[in-house]
Amino acid sequence: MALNSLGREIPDSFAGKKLLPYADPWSLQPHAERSTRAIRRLTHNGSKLVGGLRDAIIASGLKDGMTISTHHSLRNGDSLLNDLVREIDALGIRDIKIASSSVHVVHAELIPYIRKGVITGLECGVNGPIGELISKGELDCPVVVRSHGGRARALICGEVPVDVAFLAAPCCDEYGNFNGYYGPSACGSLGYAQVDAQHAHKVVAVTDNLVPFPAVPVGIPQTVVDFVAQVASLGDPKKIVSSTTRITTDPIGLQIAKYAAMVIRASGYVQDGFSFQTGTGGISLAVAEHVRDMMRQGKVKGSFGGGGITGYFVDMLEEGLFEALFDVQCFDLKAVESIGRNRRHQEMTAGTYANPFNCGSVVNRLDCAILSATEIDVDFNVNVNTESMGYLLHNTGGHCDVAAGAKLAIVVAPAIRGRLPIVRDAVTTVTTPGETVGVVVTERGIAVNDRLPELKAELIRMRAPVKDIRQLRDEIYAITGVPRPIEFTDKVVGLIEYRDGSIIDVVRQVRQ
Amino acid sequence: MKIQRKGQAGTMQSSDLMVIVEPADGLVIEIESTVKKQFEHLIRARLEQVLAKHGAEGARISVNDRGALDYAIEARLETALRRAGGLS
Amino acid sequence: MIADLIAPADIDAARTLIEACGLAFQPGYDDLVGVHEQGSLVAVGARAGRVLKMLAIAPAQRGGPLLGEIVSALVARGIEAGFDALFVFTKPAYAAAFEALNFTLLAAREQAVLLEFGNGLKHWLAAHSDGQHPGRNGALMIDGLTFSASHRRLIESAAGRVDHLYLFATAEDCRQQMADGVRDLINVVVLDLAQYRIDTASFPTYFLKVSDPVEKIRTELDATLFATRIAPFFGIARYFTGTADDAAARAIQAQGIAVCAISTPPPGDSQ
Repeated sequence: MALNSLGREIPDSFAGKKLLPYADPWSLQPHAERSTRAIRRLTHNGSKLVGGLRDAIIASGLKDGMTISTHHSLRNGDSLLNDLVREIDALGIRDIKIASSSVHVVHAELIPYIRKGVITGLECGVNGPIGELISKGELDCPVVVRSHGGRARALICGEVPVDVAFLAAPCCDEYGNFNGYYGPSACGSLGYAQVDAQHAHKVVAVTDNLVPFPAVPVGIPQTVVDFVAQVASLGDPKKIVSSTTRITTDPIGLQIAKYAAMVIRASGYVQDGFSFQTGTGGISLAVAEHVRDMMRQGKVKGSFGGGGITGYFVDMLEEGLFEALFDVQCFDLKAVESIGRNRRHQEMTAGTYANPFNCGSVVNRLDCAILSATEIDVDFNVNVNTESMGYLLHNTGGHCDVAAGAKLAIVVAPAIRGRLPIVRDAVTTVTTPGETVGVVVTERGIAVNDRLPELKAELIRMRAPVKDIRQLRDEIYAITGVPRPIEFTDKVVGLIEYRDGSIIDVVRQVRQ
Repeated sequence: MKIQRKGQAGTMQSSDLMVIVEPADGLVIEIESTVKKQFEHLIRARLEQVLAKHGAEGARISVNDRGALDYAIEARLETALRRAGGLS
Repeated sequence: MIADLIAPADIDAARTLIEACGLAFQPGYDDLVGVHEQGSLVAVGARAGRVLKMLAIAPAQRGGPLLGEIVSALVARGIEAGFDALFVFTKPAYAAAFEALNFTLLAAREQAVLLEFGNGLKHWLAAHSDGQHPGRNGALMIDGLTFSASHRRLIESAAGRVDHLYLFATAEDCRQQMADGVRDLINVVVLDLAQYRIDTASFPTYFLKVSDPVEKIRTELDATLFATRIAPFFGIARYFTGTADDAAARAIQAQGIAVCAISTPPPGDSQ
């Protein structure tokens, strides 16, 4: 056991791997070569079609103990990972690790295969019931939660070697060229899959929409794809692009958005060359609406909008408010449709988006970013991974990457959620270090990190409701009461890896 | 103050609670809550305080809470007691 | 705002919403309520006795407060109607949504789950805790409404093979008749299981497809509820049945309870 710089107890090793405790967001330097894989020579010019999923697994040479990956651009509509694991089981293969870019609620179907020993490790974070069962100690499966940038880094550095990547390919030809723009499972950007396509030892494109050669525009090229497999369906299109990304109508959410907009105004960044990122939450979109008005009024020509892209940002691009969009993942149909036709709507890989170990990722060029939070502590540390019961329920996404990269990371959250105080003495789990968080905005006030004294002064001058974060905590506790801490056992069931690969926190089993 | 019949108040919406009061031997409080681990002690304390204030007895109090704040707990319990004939 | 759906046009709208959500409209209910938004029905739900069913929320409105609103209204009416606990039978995928409303998961199978609001089962078990006896105990379900001599011989035969035999009367109001019939058998305990028996009358099929094996799903869910929630409380290690190889028997066996085939001995044959 060692304490990391945030005072979190980190074991020496986990699931056989030695751990490096987190120190700070910036100083860790890589000492690695780019991971390699065998170069191959394919001389035939025929089809790479091997048949269905089972044929592809056999062709790939997948064996006991290996690591597989998929991408999560089909989100909760994805059926590939479930189908894949079912076939792996049917083939009698065991002890497989999953290193997908994310695992969603829909993948709860994997639970029996984890119990059965088909799946024995998760080299990626999880959303939903799998994490809950692991937290309760009812499912034995070590899990390492990584951010989008951290995952790209881990694959590129060879820290997580992926033996076979099975990549959902919504529009694919028989020689392995594919893109995400067209077809019944169109998901737009294939930003996460790009990393696997370049670094997995074997790459299988799995499609439900085989088109005549060539599948253009080429998103992922034939040169990196070993096999093509055909399936009836990759998933449920209705759940791939959810149209429920709407501006909040909740008065508390609207109040928070208004305050967040004040912070953005006070920052002075809204001028020509402005760059901005939000998530899909209703509050984020309400902030984006304010920003749009600000940009219109100031006749501002922004630089780019980044991250996961919604139709909202497409509108801003088309209105001329941004020069370009950098898109790692499309959140709705409008974004999918736009990326397929607008060259200023630029697809980017997860590595380009957020990998800390390269010559500079896109998050480094962000001015303002809106981030969410499940809990925030008085040192501005943020938790998005564990929920009120202490269960691991959410993946990190790009949270800590964006906070580290953006000049101003603004965390928006209601002060209270169903009696739970959101600003508190300590967070259950640290996802993102407070050092990289600029401002916390709740409906009960705005807390500015001490490292931004000018912003704080400007907000006070604007008569914004600025409060010390401890004062904010006290006001919230006065309403909710002081919660009893969740009790954990000593057993570590998961790691929260910071983007640079050091361990910022662990997930312990909840005492039942 | 005696509970004469079953009375209920509240909803199962987020930040609300549903209270059911019914005649029973002694005074029994049952709490289900989405924030039980963190707040059961405070929910119970507030329920007991309201019950004591009205001298309620001979009742089973079943609470289904979804993160209600103290004032909501007080209001819902008092309404349920009134409907159960335990308050005039 | 909750509205009762009574007019034919309202019921049609309910049917349309329920079917659009991949469920079936199943007549036979005490309450049918809904919520309208800008003139159209966005949420609906029904109650038949202690069972809530046909809960459907328009896709664009999911994740919001509507499910809580509908369930609150139905639960309130159920309690008013005299039920201490209310059931929801639904698809496994929706279990979490009801657990978030403080429902307790009572039994889960691949195609169906049963959840309960209120501490009905806990109270039921507590009320029968004086019937708990240590030992290697057995269980026998008695489905009939009348108690016959052949019942009596069957019970004697089973009772001779365990420390205590629990007779579960599964039809409403036949416990007393059965208790009278076995009064002299000292290791036999009669319990009324009607409330926690999932029978064809109480099992709603609105969430299943016409092509689903409804009867198999029902009996497996019923057997799972019994084997996981009720049998352990009474230390039941043996389950006596006439048909040891049906879906129910297999589901019970899967929970580690021995299933013993038993047939009614002819008159005069004592064990």
